[in-house]
Amino acid sequence: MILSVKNLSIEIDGKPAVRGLTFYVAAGEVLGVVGESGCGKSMVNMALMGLLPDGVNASAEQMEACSVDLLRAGPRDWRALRGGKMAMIFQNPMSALNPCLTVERQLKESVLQARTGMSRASARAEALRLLDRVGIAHAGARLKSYPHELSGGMAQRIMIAMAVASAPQLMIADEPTTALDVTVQAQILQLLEEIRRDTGMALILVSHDIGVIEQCAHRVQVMYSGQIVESGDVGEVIASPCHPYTRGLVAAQPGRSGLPPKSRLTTIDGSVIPITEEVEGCRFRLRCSRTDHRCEQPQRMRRAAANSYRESRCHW
Amino acid sequence: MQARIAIGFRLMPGGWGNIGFLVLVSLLLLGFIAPLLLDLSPYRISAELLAPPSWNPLSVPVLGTDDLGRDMFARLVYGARCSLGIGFVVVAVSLVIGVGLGLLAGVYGGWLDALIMRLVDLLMCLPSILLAIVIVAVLGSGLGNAIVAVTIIGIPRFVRVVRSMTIQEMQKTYVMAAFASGSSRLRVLWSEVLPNCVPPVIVQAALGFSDAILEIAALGFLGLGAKPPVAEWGAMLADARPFIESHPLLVVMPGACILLTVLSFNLVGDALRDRLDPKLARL
Amino acid sequence: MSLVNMPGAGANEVVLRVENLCKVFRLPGAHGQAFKALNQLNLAVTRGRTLAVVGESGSGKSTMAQLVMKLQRPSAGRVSLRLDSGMRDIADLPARELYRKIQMVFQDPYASLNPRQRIWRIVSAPLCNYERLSRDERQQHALHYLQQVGLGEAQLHAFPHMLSGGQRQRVNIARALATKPEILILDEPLSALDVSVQAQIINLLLDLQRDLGLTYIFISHDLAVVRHFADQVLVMKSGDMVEWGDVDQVLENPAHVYTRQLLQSVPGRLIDLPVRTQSASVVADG
Repeated sequence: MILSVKNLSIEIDGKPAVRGLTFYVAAGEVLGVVGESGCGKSMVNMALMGLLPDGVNASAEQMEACSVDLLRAGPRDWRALRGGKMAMIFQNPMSALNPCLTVERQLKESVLQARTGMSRASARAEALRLLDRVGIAHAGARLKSYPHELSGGMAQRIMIAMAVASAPQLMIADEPTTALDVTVQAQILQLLEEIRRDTGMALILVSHDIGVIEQCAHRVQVMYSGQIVESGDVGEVIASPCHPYTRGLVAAQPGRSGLPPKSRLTTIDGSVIPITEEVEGCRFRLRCSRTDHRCEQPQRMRRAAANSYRESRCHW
Repeated sequence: MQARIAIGFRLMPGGWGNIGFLVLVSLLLLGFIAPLLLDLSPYRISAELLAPPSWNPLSVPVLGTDDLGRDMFARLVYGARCSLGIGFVVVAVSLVIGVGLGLLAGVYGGWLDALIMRLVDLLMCLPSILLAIVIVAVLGSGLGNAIVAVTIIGIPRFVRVVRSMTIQEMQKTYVMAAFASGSSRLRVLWSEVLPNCVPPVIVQAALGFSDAILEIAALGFLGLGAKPPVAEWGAMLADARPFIESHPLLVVMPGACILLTVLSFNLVGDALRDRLDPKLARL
Repeated sequence: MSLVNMPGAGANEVVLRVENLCKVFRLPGAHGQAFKALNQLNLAVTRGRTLAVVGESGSGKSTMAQLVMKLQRPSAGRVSLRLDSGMRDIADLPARELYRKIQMVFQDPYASLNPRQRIWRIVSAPLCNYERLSRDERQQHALHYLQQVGLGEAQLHAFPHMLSGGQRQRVNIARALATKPEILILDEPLSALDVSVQAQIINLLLDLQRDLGLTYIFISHDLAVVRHFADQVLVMKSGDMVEWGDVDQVLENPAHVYTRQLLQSVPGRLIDLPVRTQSASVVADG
């Protein structure tokens, strides 16, 4: 296991937000995380990278990444992890790059962070190699560019180059293509897949777009309001969702519903419960179309079949 | 009634600002209510010259008398009235002019913007007190002209804030949405842009108040503002200068009043800035 | 080219026609480069139908919307709108008349509502350009339109930041409906919303179109939504029209390489990859 997390809970100002997340990522695997805004998926990423802001605290029974115990990691361990075995790319590449520094400065910074003691000249050569790796033409000229001279897709490629500079074992991609055009999105997703195949790193791909997850991930976990409500093989989960929330998400997509054009789509009523709000029983109960008295009890993850790793947080 | 109190609390700027706010409210009460209740006159001359303060609220010259035998307490109270009143007039007038010019510059841009902003730069390139002295020198000394001078000096801060807010606001989608629903430029300015300029303008107004009071006092001290026998803190300071060694309290008291007022306005202004600037923090 | 071949033209009444519309921006500087945001655009929109305009950023689709809304001046060409008296060039129409016929819903539901105004004020603001209304009347009108988009009294006095993204987009739609327009320009109205909320807004827009007989120009980059929602589609790339036709034709049988590329980029299995065959839809260039 590259990453294993047991019972991760995150509190915001003492109020529970993320509630008992248990999941793992195996080497070379792509784990897709699907959820709407405010379901806590970004907060989990921040916790994994040790970047939670003040007032937000994480606790867990176990949290281990790349054979490092994250619960006991000190500042030095974290720094070594972040620039080394773990890397993260963000939704908006433009704001993740420093607008005042050239690509060369920023890329070399990542390279030197990963390989201390490297000479400036070989760092530059390494930067060129990385740009080439992420499919940027005329790498030499691009090194001199400032971020505002780059397109969104180009900037995201450079973020990826910075992330892979240290040959990470685990990359967390938080909505990496949401700000990009569809054709560029397709290219970036393909690039991530190539890098994963070549280096054998594991990837956590967070997206609100089931299509993206379906295309890239091996396993998927669906998050709703701070909990994982369903997890399993991507194909199975999307083809026959067990949890009513997953079912609603899949059906809400016009291309997938199989409904005739211009007909009303099936929707999930209401809106997401604020993540810090307490709900008695199942957190999806108030939006669910099928409820009974059992829903008033807190739901635990159940296996769909004895020999499957498919799980759902619903008793039906 | 409860709503009124609630509104009163919402006006409190929070943190250190609350202390400043309370000081200002008590100064206001003192300046405008005390003369109605007590028999106070800043001009009445008594036989007791340079009487020491009794520090006893029940005996008459609480804070003593000055070199002409005038009641110091009365003069300070009337001084508060004078300073706060002038501050209000100065800020109100410079706010209206400044906001108007800022909107014009921000909306129309081009040569009008250039003209207004160069004028503003001109006003800002000299230390404000020097500029005030220049203006008073041109207009002639006196409290009225001092007020005009300080008002002119107060304008740039509002122009700059409102202009930059306006330019930002005009880029916003909701302004475009307002144009797209047929609103005229004037209506957009009035109902979309102006309300969003209010918070920074309030902050500037609070800080402008303290600057205005300080400048009026400085002009008074230099003999370019209020003329004797008007009870004005700056002028009182100047009058008491010869007695600074023998009767230091005569200088300390008006000085402390100026300090307290300016400090309070600055506290309120800073607190308001913290509270209003992160835009929707506590609407 | 004959008007019959324009995208969107059909047997039904044309309510909006765009002819040879061009927009050139000059980049800042004395010898600033000219940048063609829109090049020779032609289209016609039929009453009660939905024309989708598809393209990536920089394709000129938002420029087109702003030109049709007269928020910018075209460099060449014209936009005409059907009034009772017949087709009229919008350049000659006073703003009051134009915006009674045509309204726009903006992309970002967060940026398009003034954060310091209450919802009733936002929704009823367009009406104040047409008649003098008291505060009570404004609130009544606002409530009416809010109810039309599935909101109610609870939101009337709220500020925008108290609402969810979906609710804000409903407020945007309510504001656009307030002048009782016939044509709505929807500029990526779904792209900032969560998937399940997108479906709610699509349903709302479909209901409104059926009940009020609205005509939509739907700007989008999401081909799956376009296929479900639109009657005709126009594909744009860097300011040029690339392909247009009925949605089925264009998306099942794309004739242009770029359309095919767009379709292939849709992630997952939302749209079956089209077979490469000759299509009946019209191709603008090569």
